Amino acid sequence: MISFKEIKEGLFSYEEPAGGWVATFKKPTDLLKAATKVRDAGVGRFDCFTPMPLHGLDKAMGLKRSWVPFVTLVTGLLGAALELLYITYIDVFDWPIVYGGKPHFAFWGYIPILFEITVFFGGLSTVAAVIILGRLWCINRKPVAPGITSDTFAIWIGDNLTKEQVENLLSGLGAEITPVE
Amino acid sequence: MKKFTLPTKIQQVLLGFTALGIIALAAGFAVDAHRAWAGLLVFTFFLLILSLAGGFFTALQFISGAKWSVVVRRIPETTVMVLPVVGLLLIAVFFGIHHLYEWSHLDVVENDHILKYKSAYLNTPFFIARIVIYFTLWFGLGMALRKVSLAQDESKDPAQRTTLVKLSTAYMLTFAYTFALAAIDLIMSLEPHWFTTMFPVYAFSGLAYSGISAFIILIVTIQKHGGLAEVTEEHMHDLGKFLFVFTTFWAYIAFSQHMLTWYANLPEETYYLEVRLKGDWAIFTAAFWILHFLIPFGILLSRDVKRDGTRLARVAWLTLFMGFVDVVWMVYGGLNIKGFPFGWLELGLFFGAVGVFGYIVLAAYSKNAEVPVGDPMLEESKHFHQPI
Repeated sequence: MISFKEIKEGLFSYEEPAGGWVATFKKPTDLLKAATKVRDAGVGRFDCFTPMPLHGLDKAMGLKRSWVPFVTLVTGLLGAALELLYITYIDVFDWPIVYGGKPHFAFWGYIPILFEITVFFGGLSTVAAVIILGRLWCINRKPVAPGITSDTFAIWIGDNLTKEQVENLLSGLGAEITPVE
Repeated sequence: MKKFTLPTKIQQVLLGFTALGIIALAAGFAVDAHRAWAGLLVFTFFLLILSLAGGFFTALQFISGAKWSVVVRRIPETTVMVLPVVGLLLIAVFFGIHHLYEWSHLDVVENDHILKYKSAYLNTPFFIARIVIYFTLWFGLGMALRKVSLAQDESKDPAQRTTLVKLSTAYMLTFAYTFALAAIDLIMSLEPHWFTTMFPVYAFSGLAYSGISAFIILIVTIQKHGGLAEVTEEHMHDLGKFLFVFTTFWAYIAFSQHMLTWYANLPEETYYLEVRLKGDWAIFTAAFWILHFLIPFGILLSRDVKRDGTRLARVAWLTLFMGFVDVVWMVYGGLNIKGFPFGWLELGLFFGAVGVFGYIVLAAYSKNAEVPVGDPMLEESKHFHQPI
């Protein structure tokens, strides 16, 4: 049995980030330029941190389309199919009762239920997909730079680069580069 | 101020479509006058919903304070110019009142218990008076919206946006009540014994569905001929979302209306679906539901289709056509039309409606600036973009 104390400690203890370099900027436009440069240089592991949503950052980082809508569609349809099987099994084979003179397989009456189950499956699996694809369980990370929730825009570069290489990559943008330990 | 020049080729095509509609209607009156009167009502109502959709869409954008839509706003603003034609068509419909509306025959009403009680509302003088009132309100408010917006092009006065928001609020409130009643008067009273509480909403969902399809087609056509360079794939995406929303909304409302009929199984409600589900109507209704909802819904799930003007316009042609079929479905079912409910007359009338609507809107559109150049939100709208 895990005690409540252990859960609490687990949630509020910090796991150290996995090395690399962090460059901080004071202006969002500089971060957009930096992200474009890092993307074009072919850096594999990097991420951006901003205190507010930044328009155009997804394009600058070269992010691919999210999988979330496909997960919603597929699980929604799967939910509807399972519900249709289940309700048909009950109404037609397991416990056939006549309700209001309607046939046992009363498809029009099933549609609201199928709709709700589609939304239910789609909704829950979307939340799960967002947590998994966004790696939202990593809540114990130490922030890569102290100001990223107030006034600092940061880019973290996880590839094995030397300080000179990072400086060359981000030259002319006035970045403050520090190693992440 | 950049203006759009309407190419002569498009003018000729649209005028050709209009001629086709007139010929079909004339031939219709020669062959089967009963069906032609019903066709005339379909034609009138379809043009009415298309031109009212413009005012609705404009007012919606102002009330919600939407900024993305400023570059596409001039098209919906212009559709009010079609209303005078609708007015003339409504006068023509008044002449066919005895062919269309059962309650206009005093001898029938005298011998019908239900119609006798409904005659306080459903009688010819009051019917005409109501339509005149609705029409005056629609035309007055729609033209006021358009006039202030055009005046802003010259004055560049940001404060006029406040006037437009107030006018939009007035338009929206008036539109909600008058259109609900107009749908009941013009279409639902074709079957005066039937009752449903969903009908105005159903008619409204058809209005929004056909309207947004028409705007998409017009915007893409204008772009194909060198206009509206400001409209990017980001704006197309939002217009596509609107089409998707109203496709789903229509299905939701149509289902809500018909499922309750199926569930309750009351004779005074079920005959509405009964006539539309037997004989020639069975295939027609099934095809109508599939093509009106399932196929556009499936296609519009794709993000790429919504962002590509050409492909979105193809879907919009289908949905515009199905919006017309929806009106045919509502009108013809109550009028004992012989034969398959969709034939050469209806096809000709669809082309006629496209011709009349397209010609008037594009001709009026090309007289003014392509985008509302005086709107303070224009610059923001040009730089609008969607999150990934």
